[in-house]
Amino acid sequence: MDLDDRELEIQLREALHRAAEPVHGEGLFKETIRNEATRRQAARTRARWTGRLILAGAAAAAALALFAMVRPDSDRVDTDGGKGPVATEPDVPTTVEPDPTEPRTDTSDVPASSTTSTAPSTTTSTTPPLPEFPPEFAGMAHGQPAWGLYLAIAPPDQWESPEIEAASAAAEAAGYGPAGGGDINCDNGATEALGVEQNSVASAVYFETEALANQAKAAFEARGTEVVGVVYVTTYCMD
Amino acid sequence: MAADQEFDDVFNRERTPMVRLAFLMLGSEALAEEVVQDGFVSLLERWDSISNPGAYLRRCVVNGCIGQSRRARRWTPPPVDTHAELGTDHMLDAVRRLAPQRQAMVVLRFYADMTQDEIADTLQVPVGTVKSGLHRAMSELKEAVRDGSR
Repeated sequence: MDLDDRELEIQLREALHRAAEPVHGEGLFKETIRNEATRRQAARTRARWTGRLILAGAAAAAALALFAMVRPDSDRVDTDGGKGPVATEPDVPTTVEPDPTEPRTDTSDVPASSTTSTAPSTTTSTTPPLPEFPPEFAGMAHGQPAWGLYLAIAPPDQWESPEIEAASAAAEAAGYGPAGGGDINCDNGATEALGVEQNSVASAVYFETEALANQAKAAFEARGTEVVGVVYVTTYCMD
Repeated sequence: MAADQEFDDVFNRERTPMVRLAFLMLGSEALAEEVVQDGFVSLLERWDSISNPGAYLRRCVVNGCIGQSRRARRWTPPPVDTHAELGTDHMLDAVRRLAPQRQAMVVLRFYADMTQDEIADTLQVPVGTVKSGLHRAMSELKEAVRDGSR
């Protein structure tokens, strides 16, 4: 190493230590950290139970549909003169989920379930489960092609417009990183494909494949979040 | 509880060094505290399964800073921090202009005094990447300082 390198190192160390010295992190509190950890844990538990309940609802709906297909209907008019086969009433098992708000006695991660027969008159929600959000592209880099899912576009310089903020909040609620307004010029190919003005502000999430981007689009739309479009772009401004 | 006391010890020991490290990478004390808080939350959530809390926290903070820097460059500019701000020093300006990963390497090497092996472990990259990254960063810094002094 020549003298210049050594001198540079010395200057660098001095500059870094001098700059860091006044900083103490006094805005950081243990209590806030504990509260945030508890909040995240509770949110994860809620999300897990919501998923389980949706699955249980779908299973119950499917079981009822199957039951309705194979069960002889006593009210139905016999149109084949009593020659048709006589179906026996099946005992359709239905999985019943425990109430997540009640304490569980089962400490395993698998929810306790019991098999009971459900009366045909029971009204059960037939809402299908919402599509899940796929993972965003972890390999984002300068010059990297990706499938951009555009949630909102705002006019140039409108960095904090309501539509961008709403889209960003929806993206974060879905578990994606901040999708706050970005310069659409950083996504080569987006302005042409979406037919929007150069220098517009965009809120977007990126995926590795078109299928994943379309899955995310379906998941957003199923939850009432409009999507502007899915575009194959080359991402810049990340060097 | 013993775990609570242990976490408190780590917090008291690591808070200032981690916020300083993050500050040097981000140039904003507020952003630095945000990233470090996230790191502590992650640490607390995985407390029972982590054998070296200090190393885990440092990795969280450095990765958080790199992610934050990349987003800040791509998206809106980071907020200006009135309490503490970089920008009055050619050398620090030059460090701030380095690519986020190289910036992390420089700060870990010349502020935190970590070896190249430790930096590679923190950034989860091969040692060769650290060597070449530091070499290029030093060349860029040398050039930037020379240009700045003209």
